[in-house]
Amino acid sequence: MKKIFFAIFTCLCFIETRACDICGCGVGGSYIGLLPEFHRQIFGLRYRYNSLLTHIGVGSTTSYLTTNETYRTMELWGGWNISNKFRLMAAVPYSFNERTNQGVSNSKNGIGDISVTGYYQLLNKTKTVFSDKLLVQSLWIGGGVKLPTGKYNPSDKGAVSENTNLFQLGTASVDFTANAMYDVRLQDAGINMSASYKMNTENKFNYRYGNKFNASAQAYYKLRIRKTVMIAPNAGIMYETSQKDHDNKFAVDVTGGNLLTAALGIETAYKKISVGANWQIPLSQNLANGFAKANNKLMVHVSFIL
Amino acid sequence: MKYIFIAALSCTFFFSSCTKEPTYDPTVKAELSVEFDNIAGAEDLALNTGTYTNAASETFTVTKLKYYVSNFALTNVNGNVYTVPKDECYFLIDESDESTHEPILNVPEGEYKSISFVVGVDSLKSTAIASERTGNLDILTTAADMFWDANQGYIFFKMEGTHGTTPFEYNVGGYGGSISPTANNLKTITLDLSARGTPKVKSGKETNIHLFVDILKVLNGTTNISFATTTGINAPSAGIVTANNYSAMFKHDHTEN
Repeated sequence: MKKIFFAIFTCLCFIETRACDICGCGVGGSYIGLLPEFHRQIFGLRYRYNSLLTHIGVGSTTSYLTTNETYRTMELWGGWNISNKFRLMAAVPYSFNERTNQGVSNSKNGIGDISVTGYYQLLNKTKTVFSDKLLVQSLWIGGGVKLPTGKYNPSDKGAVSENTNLFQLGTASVDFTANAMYDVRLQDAGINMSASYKMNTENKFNYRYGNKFNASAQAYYKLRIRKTVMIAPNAGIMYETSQKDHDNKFAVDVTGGNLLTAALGIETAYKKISVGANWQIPLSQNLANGFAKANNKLMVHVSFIL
Repeated sequence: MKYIFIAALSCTFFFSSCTKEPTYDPTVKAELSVEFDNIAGAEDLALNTGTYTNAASETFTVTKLKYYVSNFALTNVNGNVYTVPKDECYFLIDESDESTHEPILNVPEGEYKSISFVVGVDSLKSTAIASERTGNLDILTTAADMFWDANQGYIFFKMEGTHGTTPFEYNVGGYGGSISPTANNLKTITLDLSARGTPKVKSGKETNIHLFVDILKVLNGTTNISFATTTGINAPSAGIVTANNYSAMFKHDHTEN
């Protein structure tokens, strides 16, 4: 038992189930935060909140088409270690989308796009440095698929005139992701870096969301209280960039862009339960050709290690 | 195992081949609509019911808004200018009649980076014989309230409303005069379309350039207009300030492709 605790507390890694999409939403992505390392199975509930302003007017003005969009997602996710080098993760999101224009709101909710990702551990090295300090490195690579299980409504594409096509529960396309994650830690202080690329295919409504790339670097430090409670504050930066979407093969000018955020988070673990939160603040952004502006994002999760 | 995995991973890249942009045939004409969406600042213009405030802090209501747009030309991304045949494009935008808000132009297939048009009716057309001034320019029907006389010509821009209990009527026009000189209030508007989304015109596809026309700019501009001093404009010379102001009221908001 003590050994398991030790394993949970000492190995922390950041894993992203799929590439972060610009702005998030049902279609969008998820930074899921710092996860406790697990031996066989882990599952949890994750809640993500993000909002953005869309259809911003010329010169950042507000027009009567300017819309507030809010995306809340509750996600059930799980991870299975098939062997000590191979791991499978899956997530089933349920989204609550809401948008408000000129005081009139409309919303939709439902199941989103299910994703499955496989990870392979390329590197796992532990050595002693400075005579008594432990240096641990690990490198995971992964590939995944996102399935069109969420509802895509083609008429929502331009419901409030030309807009970033985010107000969807799913993309209606089969998409593929490639991920890499590197973690290096000296005793209790570590740095985690990750990158992922998401390749999207055209859906049956001839709409193809732009491919996305995101990268993050975060530092964390683990503190132990009375040997049973672990607290790991973390901070870092994240960058995401997206190509333009294509509608009937025509590039959609009000899509794509990039977003740089600062991330602050905390992870805690007690016995087999882990609770964490992550807060992302935009540092710089150029989204949808100036038509969209992302606000802060929040993620909280509770996870159970089996 | 490791190599199988890497191989599988790299295979996924093949699923997302590059998207080929469609090609345009400039010998084929396709429809392009230009939407004149009348607004008042951050609000959509609502005739009779909406109350707005000008720079002089005076509140007002608009009861009528009509203006002519004509002489359309478009520049494609390669820099080639296409001038829409003049007689195809004399449009009268009438806020009370939604069917007039999105005039349709026939232009060669292509992607366009700028648009230009004239607010008003050019001197050549203004002085043409009546049989060449039909439809939107017919002074006996559609244009009955948009025409002064042969010398002063058409009223290019008309806005009526109330400020408190005081009505106001602004009629702006003047092509220069044919019998005796008048003020020339013809304004050519050129708008960049690249910053807010270029129209990609292709047959079988709907494309709409969505313009915002901010009526607050009629009153607020180089010279602010106050209802306290100006309740009526009804001659070319009286409308010079207004025409200068409204030449800045058009903005390209977005393009629906």
